[in-house]
Amino acid sequence: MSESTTAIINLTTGEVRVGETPPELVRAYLGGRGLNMAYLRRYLHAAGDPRQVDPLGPDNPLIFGAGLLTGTIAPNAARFNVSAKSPESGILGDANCGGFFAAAMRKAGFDRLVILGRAERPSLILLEDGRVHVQDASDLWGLENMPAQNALKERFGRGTISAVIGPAGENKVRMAGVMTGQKNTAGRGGMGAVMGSKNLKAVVARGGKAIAVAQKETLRAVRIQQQKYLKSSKIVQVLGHVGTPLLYEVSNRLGAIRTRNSQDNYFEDSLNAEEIEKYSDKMLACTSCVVHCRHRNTLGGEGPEYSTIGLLGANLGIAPTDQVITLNNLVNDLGLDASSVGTIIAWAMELYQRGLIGDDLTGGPLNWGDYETVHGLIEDIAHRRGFGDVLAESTRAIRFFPPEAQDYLIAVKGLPQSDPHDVRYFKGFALGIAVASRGADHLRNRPTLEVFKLPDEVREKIYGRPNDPDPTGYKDKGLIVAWGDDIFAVTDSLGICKFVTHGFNSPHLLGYDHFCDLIAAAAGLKFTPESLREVGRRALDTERLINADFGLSRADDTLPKRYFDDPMPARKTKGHHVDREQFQRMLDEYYEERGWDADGRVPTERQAEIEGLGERLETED
Amino acid sequence: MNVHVRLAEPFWRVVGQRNLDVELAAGSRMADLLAALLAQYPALAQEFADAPPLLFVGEDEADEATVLGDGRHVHLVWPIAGG
Repeated sequence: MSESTTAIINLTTGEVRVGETPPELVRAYLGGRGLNMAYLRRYLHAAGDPRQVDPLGPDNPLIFGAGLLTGTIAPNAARFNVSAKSPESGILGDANCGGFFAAAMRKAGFDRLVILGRAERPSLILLEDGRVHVQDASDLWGLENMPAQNALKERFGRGTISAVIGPAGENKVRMAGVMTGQKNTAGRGGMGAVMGSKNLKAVVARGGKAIAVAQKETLRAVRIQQQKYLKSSKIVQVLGHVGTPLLYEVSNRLGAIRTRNSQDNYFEDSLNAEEIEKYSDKMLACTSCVVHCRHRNTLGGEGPEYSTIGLLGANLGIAPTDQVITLNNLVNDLGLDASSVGTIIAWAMELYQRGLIGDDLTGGPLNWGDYETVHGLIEDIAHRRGFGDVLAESTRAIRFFPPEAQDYLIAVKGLPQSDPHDVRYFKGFALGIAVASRGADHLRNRPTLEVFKLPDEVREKIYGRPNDPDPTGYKDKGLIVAWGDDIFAVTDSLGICKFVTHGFNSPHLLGYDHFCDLIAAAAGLKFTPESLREVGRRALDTERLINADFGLSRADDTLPKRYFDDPMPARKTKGHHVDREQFQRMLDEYYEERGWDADGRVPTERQAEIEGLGERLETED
Repeated sequence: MNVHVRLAEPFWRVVGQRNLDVELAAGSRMADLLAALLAQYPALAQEFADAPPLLFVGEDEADEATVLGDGRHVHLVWPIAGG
């Protein structure tokens, strides 16, 4: 088995320890998200009571973890996870990101960094040929995303790849992401704010150590075979032409686009993919990608994605294509999570519309579609100026608003919903965001196959037993969400992109069998599809235990009030909402599928196994 | 009668245009429209086989039995809803 290397870096003391990741932990969690969760739980416990750990204090561990396959020639193996206690939600924080940084981190000799403490002055971590250096970065403090990355290239040479924070992270904005390249963002949960709280401007990787591979020729053969298979897929071809903006027209036609804070459910055609394409001059890719889904836009940035179009466009009532692309570029320059920003500004706009907040707090009108105001407000959020300082608190801004403001917040577990899909229609989507471990998020489990009219036998083959094909019904949604949980946790732990993952936008693509072949060839580990799914289950159990440590329970697996109480207003989805009693039955079924008890607790014997694995991780004490 | 057809991604690519006007006999149904499209653009057959489109007439979802009227807007959408 290839060795996995973890560096424990204490920014307070300057101490750095580099060692092998315990092989039994790699076997149990693979890497990326799964292994990050094992480290996160261990270090939060080492700091004392996890509930008392200040997310923006020195005790919060900040973990960068590359996937087990990241940086190899496995298809679309570019990704890494950044994890910590979230300053946005106050619970499990975990963000997944593509680009080129994670491959560079592994080539520099590291699979995982556990960053502790707080540097005295603005600093950077340089990873180079298996060594860690902590250096002064005072000259970079205040720089936006790309100027910071460009300065690092100038300082350390052309082959340098960095993950940085922009002004938002420096100012501990709770929606700040970690950026690499123009657009790739570890966006969810405020990981950029955690980095800022540690006075850490950048993690820089350079050096050319080859990533160890168990069977090079076999891996090459598997890659060629899987690439051919993937390229024959329609969704891979279409994403390569137009990227995720293709989803907007479909959701909008259904009447499932979050519009004006989900008061409406459809919007203008000006945000259709064909309009976005007019501003695109090239499609870009991440490390080892066969899809090439990312636009380079002619307004000076990359993107936008479907999520950005929806949440900075329809959700704010902004229709002109160029304005939405400009806002996309702005959040990337400042280092913000577009999903949270678009949701939180829309929330404030509805509060203003309803007279629940006024000019005394906002500093002036806050109206739907007011591009200039939104542009200024995003800058103010990043720099914590005026009303922007209030919204920089994300969901925690509730303390500045009257109590009924909670009724209009589209968030779960303190995290704004990630994607622009109004989930009141597809009940599996609703269950998915309710139970997602980091809060309202579609990339933990979304059962996207619900929209396909797949034959019963195909659905049975995928999910393991017969299941109800009605996407608007409540039956069997626990089954399909738990299925998505597991396979997405595995891909996040391998470092592979969802766009080539079986069940995400396609009933084809790479599944457990394909992953077993890749893991055997790349890492020399033998898995069966069943034992690999067990890794996903273990990751979900570990995440559930982390959130239980923070005091979460069944009551937190819920939805925004609006999704229960307000029927969708128009189009095909008109009248749909989530019934509270039926929702509880979906939750029962979901817990049963997960093997949790009726209160959503992990069984004692599985908890004991996870505790045992965690104890093998060395901590400072 | 004349029906306005909008082809969303990826269907339009094998046709070469996103918006079409199709002449049909009065009283035609969606199935007749699909047959007319396939006759004129055979490459659509593979597209529809890969992913049968969601069909809309105006704001409403339709099926092959839906009766079309003169001047109606038909929208063929790829069945996808990811993120």
